Amino acid sequence: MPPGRLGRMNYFKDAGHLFRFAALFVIAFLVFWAIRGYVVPRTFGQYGHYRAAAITEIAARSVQFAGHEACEVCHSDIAGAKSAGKHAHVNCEACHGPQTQHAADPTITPVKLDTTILCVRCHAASAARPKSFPQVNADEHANGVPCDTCHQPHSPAMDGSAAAAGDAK
Amino acid sequence: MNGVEGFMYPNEISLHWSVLIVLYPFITGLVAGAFILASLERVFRVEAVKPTYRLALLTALSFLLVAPLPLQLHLGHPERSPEMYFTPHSTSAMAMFGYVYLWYLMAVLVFEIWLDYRRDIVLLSQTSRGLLRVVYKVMTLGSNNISARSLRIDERVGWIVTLVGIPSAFMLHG
Amino acid sequence: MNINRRQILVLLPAAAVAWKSVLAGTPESAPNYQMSEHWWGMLIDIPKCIGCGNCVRACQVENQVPDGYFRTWVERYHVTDANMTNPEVISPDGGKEGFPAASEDAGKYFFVPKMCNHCADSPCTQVCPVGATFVSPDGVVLVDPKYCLGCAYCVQACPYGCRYIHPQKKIVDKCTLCYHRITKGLTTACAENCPTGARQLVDLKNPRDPIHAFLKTHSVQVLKPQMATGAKVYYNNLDGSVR
Repeated sequence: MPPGRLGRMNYFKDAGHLFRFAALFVIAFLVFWAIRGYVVPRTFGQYGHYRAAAITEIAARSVQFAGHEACEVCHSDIAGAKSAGKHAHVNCEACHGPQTQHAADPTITPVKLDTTILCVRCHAASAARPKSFPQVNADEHANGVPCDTCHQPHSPAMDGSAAAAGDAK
Repeated sequence: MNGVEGFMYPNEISLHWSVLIVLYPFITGLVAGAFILASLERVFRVEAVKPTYRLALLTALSFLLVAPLPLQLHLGHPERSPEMYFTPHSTSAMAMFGYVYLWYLMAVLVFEIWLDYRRDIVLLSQTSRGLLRVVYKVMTLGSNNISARSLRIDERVGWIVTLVGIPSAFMLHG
Repeated sequence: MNINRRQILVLLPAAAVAWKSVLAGTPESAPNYQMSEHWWGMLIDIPKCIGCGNCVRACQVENQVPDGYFRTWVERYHVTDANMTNPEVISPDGGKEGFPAASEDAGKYFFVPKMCNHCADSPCTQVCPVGATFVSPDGVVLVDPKYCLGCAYCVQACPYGCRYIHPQKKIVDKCTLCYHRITKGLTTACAENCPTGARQLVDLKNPRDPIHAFLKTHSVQVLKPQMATGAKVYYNNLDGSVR
């Protein structure tokens, strides 16, 4: 084997293919890095390891339940009667369902509720419910008659206070 | 024994990780096992398994190439899987194992197979014709040096790669 | 009153200004919503829950939750002398249509509404390989629907079973604490529709939040405290048998 400078040149010549292989890796890494710069979303990493724009997109989703304060803007009389009765803390849409469409366009009338199926969801008697919670066996109590025949849903207690409030059904 | 019996959270009734996920450790087990067999010859100089050397390496490579397939089938959005390489989450085992897979494929298997086959590749690049000739030419990376010294260097480097490959195989499969 | 003015009056006066920023796509820059001013959690008052299932139905309507999957659900526990160590738990369709009437009087019954606990140290965000699920700066664990691969690693990792793969979108879905509502000054759909006030949103960073005061004066627990997830859904009077 030739000594000195010539020997070193020979080594480089004999190991040249390894340097080419290494160069392939370097090129692959550079291509990867270039693609990465192009593909990774702009807002990624702004607040943490995620796409920050996702927060904005999720917050921009549409609302289905308007919230009781929206109802009270127009229906303040009913809100007043309700706040004096047992259903004071039951929000409007808990029974009436989602009402953003109605709130945005009041000409869209909400669906009339059927109290025979609505009220028993909460008030059907069950050993699982707290004893202090008002509950009845619907068949024995009403015998098929709709609940709002006797109870005013916005102020349901049967002590004359509903009649005194005088709000229409 | 204390505990709730016969109840599953409603969302957990449909099991998401089942056979498609299980296939990956199974296949990487075959890969790691084949590689260890090859390393017996290269590092530990067990002459009895010498005839299986090339077959073991090629088996390892072919199985490793198909190992991600069941995982891709399992994903809801397989077209987004490159995200694991572009924005890997360092606390996630899945993301980190994506890089372990890449390391094992490129720096261990492909490198070692190329080193072992290089002499044949160079010879084939000179004797074959047509498209195959182009393919072999590319695989030589432009170097036609198959002198005795270069092949000895290949042996030495291959030995180091195999040595590094053994713990890498453990990391790949466990 | 024309429709436009009605629309503005529809939402909370305070939220009306925020609404404009929201429509512009930048809620965090809405004048009255700054992410750094909030750290959201939830209070669930077990004795108040009557198992009516209103919350489950409301959540489904508000968030288009697919059938058979649940962002929130209610479990009913029944502990008697006979099954003290193995209480009976049912959750028929997640409690969406309520529960069958319980007839047996013996033992204690209670309802446990469950949801994503929006853990401060959540295992689900830890395991996501790409950063598609994360804890927002105001403490809500969210999923980026455009980045999620649907690998279901987080579904496996969640100790509370609150995540699922959306059958049509093929990405992970879960309770977002109605982020699109709370950033506009509204409360979550489940809290809005709970007739007994068993579910209440709480802003842990706001000392004037009334629920914040409740947390400071009552004994509250989190689910699976041994997992040290930093869960931010606090239960009042949580029974030890709850899993």
